[in-house]
Amino acid sequence: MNDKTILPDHKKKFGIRFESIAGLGADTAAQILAKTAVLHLGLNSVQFSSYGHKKKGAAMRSFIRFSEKNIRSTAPIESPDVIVVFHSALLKNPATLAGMKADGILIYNGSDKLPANLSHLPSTTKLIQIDAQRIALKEKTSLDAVLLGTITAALPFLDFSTLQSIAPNKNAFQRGAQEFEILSNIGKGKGNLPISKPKPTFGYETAPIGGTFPCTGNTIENDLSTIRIQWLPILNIEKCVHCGICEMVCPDFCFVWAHGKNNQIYLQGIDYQYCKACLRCVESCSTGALRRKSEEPGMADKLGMRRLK
Amino acid sequence: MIEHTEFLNGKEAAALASQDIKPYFIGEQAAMCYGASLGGGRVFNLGTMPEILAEQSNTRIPIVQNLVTSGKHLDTALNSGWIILLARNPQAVYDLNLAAVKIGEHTDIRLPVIVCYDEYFTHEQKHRLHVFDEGIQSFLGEPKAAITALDPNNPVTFGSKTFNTNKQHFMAMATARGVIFEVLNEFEKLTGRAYPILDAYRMDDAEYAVILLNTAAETAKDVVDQYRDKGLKVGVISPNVIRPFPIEDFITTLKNVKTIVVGDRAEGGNISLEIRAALQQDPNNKTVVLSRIYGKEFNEADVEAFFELAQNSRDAIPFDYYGCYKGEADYKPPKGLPVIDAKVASMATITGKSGNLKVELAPLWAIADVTNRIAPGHGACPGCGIFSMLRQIFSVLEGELVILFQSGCGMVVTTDYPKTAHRITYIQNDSQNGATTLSGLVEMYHEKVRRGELAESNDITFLMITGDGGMDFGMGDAIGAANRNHRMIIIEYDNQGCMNTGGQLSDSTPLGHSTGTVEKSFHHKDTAQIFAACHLPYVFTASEGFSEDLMRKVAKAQWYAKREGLVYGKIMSFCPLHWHTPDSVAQSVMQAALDCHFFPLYEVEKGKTTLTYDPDILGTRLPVTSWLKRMGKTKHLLNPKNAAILKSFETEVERRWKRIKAMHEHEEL
Ligand SMILES: Cc1ncc(C[n+]2csc(CCOP(=O)(O)OP(=O)(O)O)c2C)c(N)n1
Ligand code: SF4
Ligand code: SF4
Ligand code: SF4
Repeated sequence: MNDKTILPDHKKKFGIRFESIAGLGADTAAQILAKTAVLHLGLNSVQFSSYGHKKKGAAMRSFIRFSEKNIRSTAPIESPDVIVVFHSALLKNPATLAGMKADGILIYNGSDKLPANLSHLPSTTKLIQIDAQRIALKEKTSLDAVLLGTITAALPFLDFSTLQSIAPNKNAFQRGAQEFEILSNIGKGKGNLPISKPKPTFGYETAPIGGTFPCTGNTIENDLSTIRIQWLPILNIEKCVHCGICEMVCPDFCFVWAHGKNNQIYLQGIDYQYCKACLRCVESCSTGALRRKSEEPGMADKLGMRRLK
Repeated sequence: MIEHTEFLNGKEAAALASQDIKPYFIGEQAAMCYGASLGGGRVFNLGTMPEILAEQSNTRIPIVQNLVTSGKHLDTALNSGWIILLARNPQAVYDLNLAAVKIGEHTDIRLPVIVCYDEYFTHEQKHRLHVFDEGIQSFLGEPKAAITALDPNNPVTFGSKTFNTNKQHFMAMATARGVIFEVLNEFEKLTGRAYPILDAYRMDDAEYAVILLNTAAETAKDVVDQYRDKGLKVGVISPNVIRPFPIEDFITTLKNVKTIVVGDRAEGGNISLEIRAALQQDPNNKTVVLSRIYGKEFNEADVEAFFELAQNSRDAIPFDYYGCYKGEADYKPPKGLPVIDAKVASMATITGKSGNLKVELAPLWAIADVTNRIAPGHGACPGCGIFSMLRQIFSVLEGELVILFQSGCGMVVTTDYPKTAHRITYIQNDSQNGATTLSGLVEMYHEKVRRGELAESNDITFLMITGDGGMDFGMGDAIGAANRNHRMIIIEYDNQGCMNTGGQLSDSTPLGHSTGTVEKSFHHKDTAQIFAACHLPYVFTASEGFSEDLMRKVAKAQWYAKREGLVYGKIMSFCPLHWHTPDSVAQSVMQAALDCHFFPLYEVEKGKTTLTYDPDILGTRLPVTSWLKRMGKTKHLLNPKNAAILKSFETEVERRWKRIKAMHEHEEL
């Protein structure tokens, strides 16, 4: 237990941003860090999360500010000292790395193959990779339990033994603190990454009055595939009897049907852009035509198809 | 004063304060709290919905109510006759809740008190704060009520519509100024935490100031510190008390200030109007007042823009909106799907007469090809049953449709501006009066057809979708629409809770089920029987896990809604997030709910009840526990220590099942 913790720059606030998906434990991990700092490390801290609409699988962010003094600001942290990426799929969105500082730290949960987007990072940013998913599975715990260890190891001002004693899973914490790799020569950028700008939409001069909008079904633009974190439903068309049950249970309208000869209607495939891998279809298909498989990169593109209507 | 440190958000700070105060009653509904406080004990309203009743201030009843606001709600509260304290961070939420009790109960005042703080920023962000270990009761003193509704020896009439209490109320508010000052002073002596009526930050020699409420003011203080370091004479003013309005304090503080920019989140700019009115009372005051309405967030850059405006006020217009996005002229929203051709093949053939319809359903594979009226790409949780249900409903409804959703998950995840998953006309309504709104539209439709302005061949079907929570808040309205028997359909998706707001209980949550807040302490509401008692042409229950049965009933629903009147259907709908199950197990969990008699599938057609699925006959009967063991929210009920709750639940389930079965067997029931 520290009475007084000294931050790297003790005049400034130190900011951390977690980039995650609701359900992966980012909010819990952020709360543990911030609460420990306040109750045991003599620091001040503020913690909060922002979710779209708090549904499972939606992208979310969690923020922590540390300071040796009072903290008044309640704004989201646009350019944090540390960004922790909980899932590689999040890198598809450029906002995930927005505001990354050239002298900051990026902690990235992922295995072997590095996503190409990481090359946008400033070359001087410290890049730490940890396969937290694998460790979490082995230790039968959640991602946050592992990443807490990695974050603590990366930030010397967080007292290691205090956090370890509070960690929800000691082994996972220990492994998170040890089994990471520091990667070099990945980032090619110079200087801080720019902060993210909101996408254009209707404004008060252009929007139809009263919040009405004359659109029909334009959510089809959305890509929901980032919500899948492990499985993919796979259709074995040989076993399919085209009964239609999967269509009745799929909440995300992923099944693609076609008309054959004699106007017969048959199942063609699955549009994985909308599939959240709930696996309700797998549960309900009685012929075994639908099975779950662990999703590998590229698998959905290869096996899926697009709905046309 | 003994205290310790905590790390809490505003919501938790309010909850902790409410426990530490040890009130006689903690409620969430304004009217219930009002009733409780008529009995004389200390009452605390933890509900954060802006239900501010003028009755409470008229009857001079002290209640403490927390109000979480994004601006608008404060507007409404300002003229409700309540005292209003503003809490800028979780520490202030805790402290001012304690002070509020003492202020409101003061014998010279006796008024309800609102503690108001910012949605999201204060309500949800966690901060460090100090809380009391002891000493609260001696600070608060005993609650004293001279008149109560619980004193049979001294009967009282509460509230007369013919006596005007306004002047008395005005006098109490005037007295409150001094009392609030005293109480907050006493609090400061105890804790060292100061809450001046008007927080004037670095205002001593300030020439320019911004006036802001709550978290925005705190952000501004950081900017003011930086400007002061550069030698600029600037400050921030933010009230801790807004009712009664601190007129004198504003006059004194603004005496020598050249320009102020008042930032309001509420629409009309109430605060700036009141400041202007206050300054009128000082003939020597020359302060220029600029008023700006801002949106949700207010960051350092915005404070800088306000000071910039203050320093260049000569050409500035006095009132404007600030930071609103203008839009780009060439912007087009994302392209969606084409408008649906309503003239598609019918998937349900209906024969027979009113009171005895028969439905022949096309095979599922044929139905699978029907163009959906809702598009993929919505943001519900994986496995959400609302959307499987909608798929099934839209597969059998024929012709043109207009739908209305009461707020809830189904609404939130389909209409993220400017994207919509709906391919037909869709109306959003609060969870309260959707049925009334839709019934108005139904009447307009028939009038337009009567006048020949709409072709009868359009033949629109009107459908309202609501959650079970919405069927609590909106029950009065829905019953009204049912009694008037408008030609429309009300579908309630029953996922056994208010899921959109975090899985809280609704009246339809079954006994003992754990929810986002507490375990349910009373039995589930039998909404289908309530509507059956309205003697509608058609009432049904269904499960989205049994699609053929559901679709047959929806086809009948449309037949009756077009010809005879209002139809109500309650549909069990899977919610893996708040039932605490894997996302994939909808089928097995809901099947168990049918097989254990918990959710009888039946229809009431022109008064005649028919079970459409009977596990006793099919031999699929299961005990209630084999349903409960499948969900995280109910597993604990299998623990022997909950045997009494389980027993009570099983007995009630069986009693209700037997009733429906008896109705099924007897034509007259
Ligand atoms: C009259 C009213 N009270 C409260 C709210 C806030 N609110 C929005 S959604 C919601 C929950 C609705 O629950 P339910 O109808 O069961 O739908 P679900 O969230 O389960 O989809 C609440 C309380 C509201 N919109 N309107
Ligand atoms: S449920 Fe199975 S068998 Fe039936 S259509 Fe779907 S994949 Fe084919
Ligand atoms: S896994 Fe879920 S979302 Fe994906 S296709 Fe199956 S039912 Fe649809
Ligand atoms: S919380 Fe439940 S009802 Fe709401 S979207 Fe998620 S699964 Fe559906």
